[in-house]
Amino acid sequence: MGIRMNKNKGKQPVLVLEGDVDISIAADIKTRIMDVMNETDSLTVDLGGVERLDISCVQLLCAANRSFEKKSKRLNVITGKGDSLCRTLLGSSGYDAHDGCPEKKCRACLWKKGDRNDG
Amino acid sequence: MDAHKQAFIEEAYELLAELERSLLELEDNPGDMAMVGQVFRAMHTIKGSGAMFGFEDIAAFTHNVENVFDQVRSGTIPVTRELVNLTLTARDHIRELLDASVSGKTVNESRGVDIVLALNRLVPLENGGIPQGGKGEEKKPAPDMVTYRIRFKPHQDLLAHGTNPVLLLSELRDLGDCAVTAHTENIPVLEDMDPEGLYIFWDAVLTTDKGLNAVRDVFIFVEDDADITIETILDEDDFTSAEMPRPKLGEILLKHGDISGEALHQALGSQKRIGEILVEEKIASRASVTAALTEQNQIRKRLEQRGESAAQISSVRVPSEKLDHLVDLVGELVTVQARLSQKAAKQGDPDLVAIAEDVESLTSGLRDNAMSIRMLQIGTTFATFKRLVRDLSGELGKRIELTTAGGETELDKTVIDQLKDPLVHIIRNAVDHAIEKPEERLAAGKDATGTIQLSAEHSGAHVLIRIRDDGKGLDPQVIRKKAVEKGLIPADADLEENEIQNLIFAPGFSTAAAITDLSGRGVGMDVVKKSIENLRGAIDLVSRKGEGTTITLKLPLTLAIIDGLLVQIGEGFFVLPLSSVEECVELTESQRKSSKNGNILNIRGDIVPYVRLRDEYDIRNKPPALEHVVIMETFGKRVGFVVDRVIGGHQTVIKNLGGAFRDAKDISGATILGDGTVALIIDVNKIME
Repeated sequence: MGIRMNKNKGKQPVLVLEGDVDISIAADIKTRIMDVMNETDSLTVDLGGVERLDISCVQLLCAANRSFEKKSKRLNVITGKGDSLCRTLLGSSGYDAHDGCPEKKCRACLWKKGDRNDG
Repeated sequence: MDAHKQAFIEEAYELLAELERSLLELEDNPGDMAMVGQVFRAMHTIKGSGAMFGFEDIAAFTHNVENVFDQVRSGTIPVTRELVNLTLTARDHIRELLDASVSGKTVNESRGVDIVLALNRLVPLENGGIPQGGKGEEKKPAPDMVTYRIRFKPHQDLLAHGTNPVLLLSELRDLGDCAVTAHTENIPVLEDMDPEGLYIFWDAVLTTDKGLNAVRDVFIFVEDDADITIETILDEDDFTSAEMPRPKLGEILLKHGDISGEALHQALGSQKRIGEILVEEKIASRASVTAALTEQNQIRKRLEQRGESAAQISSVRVPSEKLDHLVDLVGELVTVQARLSQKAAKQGDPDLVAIAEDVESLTSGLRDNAMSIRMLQIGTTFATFKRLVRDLSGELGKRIELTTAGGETELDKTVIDQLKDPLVHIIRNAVDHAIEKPEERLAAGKDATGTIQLSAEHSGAHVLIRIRDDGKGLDPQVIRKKAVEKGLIPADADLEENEIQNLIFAPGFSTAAAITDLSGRGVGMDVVKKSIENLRGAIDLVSRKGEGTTITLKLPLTLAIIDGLLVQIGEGFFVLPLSSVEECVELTESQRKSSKNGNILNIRGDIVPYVRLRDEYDIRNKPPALEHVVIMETFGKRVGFVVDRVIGGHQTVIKNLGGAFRDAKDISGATILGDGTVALIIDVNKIME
């Protein structure tokens, strides 16, 4: 379980989330994203190592996406090995499992399959 | 254990207590469907929250019981004594599972299985099953399929309360054909977001044959944490109606008030948008989003109209230790305030006096408030006895009805906690020894069903709890004989009937011929008396042979602070509980000397005995010429206490005396006066004895 921000010189930062990603670490995730939001043009969130995910983190990443879009920046999500877990949660939470949220408020949905993530 | 689990356990214990109450009421009124609903809801909440917080065993077991009660609710299973018995046993098993989860002990799982099997035997077989009650019941028509539209809009703090809304949605899906759409429009930008808040809400369209109750039950335990609207979109009647036209989409929305006529007109005017929706018809979410947005505006409008609904009564759970600490601190504050008042009065500075008076009034308010927080209704404790009486009378083959009154009477939490054991003992005694078997009762010309009345009422700063039974009463001769045998009284003792009856409170007294399972385990009424006295209370017994017994417990409202009357004897200060003080009279030296028949006063024609406290406490300096007698009353008896000087009312914070003073029976505690002097609090009941 953990939150890690990988910042390699010359590369865009990657926020790696692993293990249980739920409401207990939501505040922490928010802080990490806020910390880098102003200093980078794009951020990737890696959910490949996630073993458990809850709705609080989904909406947190949606909120982050809205912030990034507002600043004309870009947020990506990599679901990797955690893809089916993410899709299951999205599906059962009333999102479209492959198309993201029905709202279409974001210019580009974070969760749309094949669009911005390699899941 | 994490806070959510802890909260669940606390809630579950409360629900179990409620469940027991509901079941016992249901037994009395088997036709009360509202009570059936309550039982079901309690089970459902325990199951749902249990599953949510990882108490799978509790959830699984409760689920089975809930299923049975669902059938009771639908009228398939009648409410019988057997059903209530089994459900009570099931309730006990859930409690055991809960206890085990707290203590880490293991529970006999086969017991749970047995209960479930027994409960399932109550469910009639669906096809070719034995009809309950003999007469062939009409076969129920196939249940109707109904389509509901559900808006589930949790309050922002739902997640923080430990509820997982996605599980509720899954539960909804289990009911039938269900499409869920998430509304994410309220998710703010990250900067404005409370990471633990919930911003998403949901619309669901569900087609099910399980009925509206089943849909409501999904949300039963988040009712207070969410706005939930459930509307019927389409039911079977719509299909059977021959004239039913096929309504257009817009008309349906209009009919349900989801959109206004104007909005529909507007939408129809811009064909492109309608076309767009039609093109994307396979994506249901788009359509519902448009409709939902309109609906949302309406809900918002309605909410604004009744703005007060937003302001909800809320309550906070606080560990009782915190309250104890608060009361301790308030106690200290009362002492300090007394010092301040005394100092102010001595110095004679009007400003300081004014401040001291303000502090006094605030302290008094704070004290009352702190004490009121600790006040609990005694009804909850009473309710537990209903079960006790029910089970014990069943075991003994007796018919006993327990009635309660005054359950709303409030007492300090500490008093209530410590009161339970003595009450259990008294009630067990009544069930075991006092109430006769039905045949004996009938022979004695009584109703076959005995009654035990449990009542509580306020009486000044005290609460009186009465336990009255209509059993055989105490036989003074039997008691007298026993007391002589045990060497408690000499054979020729001259005692009144009431005095003899009160011998049952003497240590080592027991009249039970045989030791039964219920009472007579060596714990006698003396222990009960001691427990009540430890609470600074008193116990009184009135019994008539053949008619019944009434035991009255007189308990202080609180154990922490009392209003006392401060008196002085010699150099020492004492506090008498103000609630028992009737009046103060003077006692001149000549009166004292003229009283030939010992210490007796004539108060307006009444003869009142008095006790000279200076003799009692061996205070040897010369008494003043004019002494004062404080007349106290308890259980209808009046006794005077002679003191040198009556100082006045004193709000007293009771401090326990250390172990060194445990033999000082007639002192119930001590208090610290404003100048640091210690005053002893006199236990009037003890001295009266």
